[in-house]
Amino acid sequence: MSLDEAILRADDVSCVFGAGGMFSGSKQVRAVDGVSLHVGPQETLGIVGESGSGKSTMARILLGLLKPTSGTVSFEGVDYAKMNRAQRWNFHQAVQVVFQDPGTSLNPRKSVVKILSEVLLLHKKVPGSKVLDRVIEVLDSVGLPSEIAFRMPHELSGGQKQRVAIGRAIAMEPKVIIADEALSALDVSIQAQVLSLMKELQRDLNVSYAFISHDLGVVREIADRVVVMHNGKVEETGNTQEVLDHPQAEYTKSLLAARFIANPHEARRVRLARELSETL
Amino acid sequence: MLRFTISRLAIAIPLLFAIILILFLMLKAAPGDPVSVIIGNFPAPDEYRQQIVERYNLDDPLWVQFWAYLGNLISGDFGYSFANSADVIDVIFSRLPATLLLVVLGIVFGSALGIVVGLVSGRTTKRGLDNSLNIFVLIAFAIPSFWLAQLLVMFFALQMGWFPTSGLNSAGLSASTWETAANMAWHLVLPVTALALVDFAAVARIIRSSTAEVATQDYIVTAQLKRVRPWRITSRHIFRNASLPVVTVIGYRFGQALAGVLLVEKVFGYPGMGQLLEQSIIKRDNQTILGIVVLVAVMVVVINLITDLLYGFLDPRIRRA
Amino acid sequence: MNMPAVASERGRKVPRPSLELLKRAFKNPLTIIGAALLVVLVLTAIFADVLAPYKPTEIAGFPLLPPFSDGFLLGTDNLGRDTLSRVMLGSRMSLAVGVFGAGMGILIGIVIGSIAGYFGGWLDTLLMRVAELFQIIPALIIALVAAALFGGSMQLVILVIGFTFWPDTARIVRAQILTLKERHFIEAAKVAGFKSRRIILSDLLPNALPPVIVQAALLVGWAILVEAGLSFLGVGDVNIPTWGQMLSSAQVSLSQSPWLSIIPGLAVVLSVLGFNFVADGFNSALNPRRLAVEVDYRKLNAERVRKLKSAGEGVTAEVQTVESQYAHETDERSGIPQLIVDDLVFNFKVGGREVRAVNGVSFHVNRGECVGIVGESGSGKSTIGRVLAQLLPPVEVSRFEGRASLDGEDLLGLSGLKADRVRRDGISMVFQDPMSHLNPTMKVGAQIEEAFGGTISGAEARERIDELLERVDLPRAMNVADRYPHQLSGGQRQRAMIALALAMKPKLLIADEPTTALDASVQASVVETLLKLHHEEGLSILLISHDFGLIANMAERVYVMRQGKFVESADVIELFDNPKHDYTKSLLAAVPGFKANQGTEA
Repeated sequence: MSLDEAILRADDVSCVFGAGGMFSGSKQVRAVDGVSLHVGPQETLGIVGESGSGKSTMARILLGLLKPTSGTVSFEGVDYAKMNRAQRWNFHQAVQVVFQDPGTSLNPRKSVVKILSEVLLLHKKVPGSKVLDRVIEVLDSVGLPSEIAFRMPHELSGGQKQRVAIGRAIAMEPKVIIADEALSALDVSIQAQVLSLMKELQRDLNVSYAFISHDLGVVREIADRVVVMHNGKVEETGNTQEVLDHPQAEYTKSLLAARFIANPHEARRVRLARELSETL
Repeated sequence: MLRFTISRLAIAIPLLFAIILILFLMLKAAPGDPVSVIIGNFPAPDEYRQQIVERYNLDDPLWVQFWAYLGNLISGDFGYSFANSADVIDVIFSRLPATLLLVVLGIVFGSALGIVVGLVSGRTTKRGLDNSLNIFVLIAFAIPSFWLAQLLVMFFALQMGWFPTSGLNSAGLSASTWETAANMAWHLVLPVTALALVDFAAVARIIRSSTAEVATQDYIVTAQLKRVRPWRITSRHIFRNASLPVVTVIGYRFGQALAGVLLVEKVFGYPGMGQLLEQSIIKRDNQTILGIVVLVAVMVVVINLITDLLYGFLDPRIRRA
Repeated sequence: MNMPAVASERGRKVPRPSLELLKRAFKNPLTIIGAALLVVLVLTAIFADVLAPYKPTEIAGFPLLPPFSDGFLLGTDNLGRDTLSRVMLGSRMSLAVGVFGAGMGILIGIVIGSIAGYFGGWLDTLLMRVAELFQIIPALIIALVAAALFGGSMQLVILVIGFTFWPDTARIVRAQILTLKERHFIEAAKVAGFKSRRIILSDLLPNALPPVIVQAALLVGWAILVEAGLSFLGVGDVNIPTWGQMLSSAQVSLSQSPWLSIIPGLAVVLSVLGFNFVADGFNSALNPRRLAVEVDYRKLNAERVRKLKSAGEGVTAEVQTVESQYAHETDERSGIPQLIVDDLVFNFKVGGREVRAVNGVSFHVNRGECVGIVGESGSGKSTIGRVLAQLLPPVEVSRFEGRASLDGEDLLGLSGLKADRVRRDGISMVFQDPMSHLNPTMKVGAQIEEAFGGTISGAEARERIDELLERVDLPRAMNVADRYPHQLSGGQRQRAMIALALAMKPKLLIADEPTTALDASVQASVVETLLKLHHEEGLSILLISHDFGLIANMAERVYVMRQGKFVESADVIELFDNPKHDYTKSLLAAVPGFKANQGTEA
């Protein structure tokens, strides 16, 4: 895929924290250091890294929540920093987000219908009279029954909350959804359900994902391409299958080697091999 | 730690500067002729008035005036008090030790009792005890220190005659150092009690909530895993961590206590700065009033600087940063 | 259909958090007493003119009449003015200064706190420095200076209180907003394109406000005290009666007329107390304080034994029969199992709701074996470990039954010192989050030393600590013992935690999610260390985890837990190759990459 087709791209983006005033007394941290990446249409880009790798900072930069210290983020070829009002407004519809912790991604004082309708009304997605119909439609498409609409967040389970958060994102009819560790806080069985929902939505709505995760297993399931981040830098990038099966960068190799394989045969084989090599 | 110290100093100095600036601006905004505002309502000779105009550059722009004012303060010149016919700085310093004695004793006794009650209240498993201690602390918060002082005088001094009603020393006492000290302590019991009450309440409240919070921390579970005895968990794990906020509270309390002491001094006719301030207000001796306030501000800022540094020293997370 | 129609269509009542709070606050008798005091205060202030028998400045009778004199319920002052009337009128000044002064301070505080918290950066630094300035300089002194320079009117006092009372509120609002800002719904609102003003007003402030209510009540009380102090020092108009002024004039006649001090003093105390009680009531409704309930194991155990006996079973006898039952199938490697748990039930109540955490589980761990308990969150797996180690959170236990023995010694039946000895010598534990489980203000070495139980100290202890740290692959050269937890990396902290657990020389180590809080690359090396201890030193491990990858790498036998019960148990290879229970199958199917791995293996 050529770079021109990219919907959302970052060019040589860096972000330095702690560059504050004379009283801050803290050291500078280069959270993101010269990262370039792009998300194409209907594509899922996996961004993989451990905590402190800068992947979540990258998510906030891509969302326009954080201004990079240097480098540019552009959407459909327009530099975010140079966007006019209308373009920014468009950006805020087209780029949406699903966060890690379903417990804090919904305002505890607003009912589901309020949460979904306020974004619909803000961007005038539907006329006021059709809002409730649309809310129920959105709930349906994320696999939630319509009566959920009148619940408060604390009455929902973790999986349901995450579905509402996904619903809030797709209600805007976005082109890209940034999923920042969107599955990490969920139980394994719920993870699998939400993962398949996200795949389904991608098929139906032609949306692209930037899927940020520390979990190589999840990324293998959903991502077409993958970017491996470490200490704020991109270590390796490429087709998911290729990168995970034939990693080139040392860091990717160590990340893959460190992973627990949910397979006791494999685990024993690896351990025996190591013990053998130690005795030899 | 050095970095931390420097950063705290870098905050304290502008803070003092800002306080003096505010006082200066208040002085300038006061109604009336500027010379009278400075020296108060005293019939001063014209030469002296002219001298004041020159010293404080009253004919110059505001910032020059401020600069001159600041320069005088830094060189230790707080002006001349007509009401007391003496330099303001000397008048204040003659009263300062007695007031500081009262404030420090009040904070020490109040905090000590507050720590004990807070710990008991935070650690108890009996809801009744916790509730009663809590109500006790809330009541302590609601009692004005000067009213408590009046009650103490009425009951323990006038009614029972156990303690003197006023002053710091008995008149005409010429005895050994020990006897003077004992006599002074006897005079101090009631004012210190009145003053300590609110410090006690503030410290007890903070210790209660921080103790209860620390007790739910995971590292307490680890201590239980190690089968550390309960009293040792309280003393070594809970108290050490729960007492950190007290250091900050005492810093804040110091300023409040310097205000509270003015009221208590009035009740006991105590020869401290409170009396001086009250008389200065009555006589509109503005030089002395400002002198006292500037000195209070300096002490408050310095004490807060010390407690800040102490906090940093006690918390290894800051000390080793 | 429009939005109002939506509202009317609500089939079910949505409990409003603010209403909930109000209800909970008023369940507290303190709140009710406080509110009653405030009602009396407000009514008195409003109707003072009508209620007062005399004009407050009117010389109505003889001076210094005692209370209950004819026509003067509370007596008269040194000029012969009616005390009751003066106290009633005095409430106006107190309330006005309290409410308007503190109210102004709170408004300023909310605005400054919101700005500082939301925008952050240099603006935040500057505003908080200014707040610090106002916080350490007492309002009373500023008011005195202002009164001396400008004359002491009520408006001035209100103004001074307003301008000096805001820092507390600003700090609280700022702290609230800083924590709320971390919540994703705020970022989601920004991503959706909502404006800052709308985010602050609609998403941030409503969630930040409850603690401000508490602060507001406290501040009004405090402002009343400051006003009383100021008028006690003579600030203000002599023709408007205030409580402080009354206390000031009582000063001269303390010996003959104590009531002149007692009555206005009580008025001040009761008013301030009203505000303090209401504040405290709301505060405890907001942050319900759980008392440090100590789980009384002795009592629980007596109950447990009584039940066993009434069922015709003995505690230890039964353990022996369980043991003999195992004796038939004696494993050559291990003999009788080290840990035997038989029909363990542990239910408790949280907020009036019963949690059936453990509902009849039986299992065993052989000597030198690593057994895994796998389940999703809420399955009750962690409670098993906590019950065996008697490290329960302060909960109200509603059901506690069953038996457990370690090396033939009853594990649940003991309490006090003997129990501590058995458990210190028997069971130790490693937790999920090593950072929170280590005391932040104590050096690692000192924390490990405590685990020796005072048996050794000094250089000998230091030697043992270094040995322990070496066993968990923290070489002496790193000098971990002399460091504080925050100076270590996540992996080092978990190793230190394992060393601490080993210091107790456990027969059995319970590892509760030992790698979940760690980065993937560190996880593997921590597992290496645990496995080394397991294989080389024969340490028995009970591994509790949700992570099938970890289970596959460490456990030899596995129990699958769901809703307080085991649904399946098997040898680890058998479980992965041939899961029998549907729940196990669904869990395994949900493991990302599980199928892929099976594929590469085939």
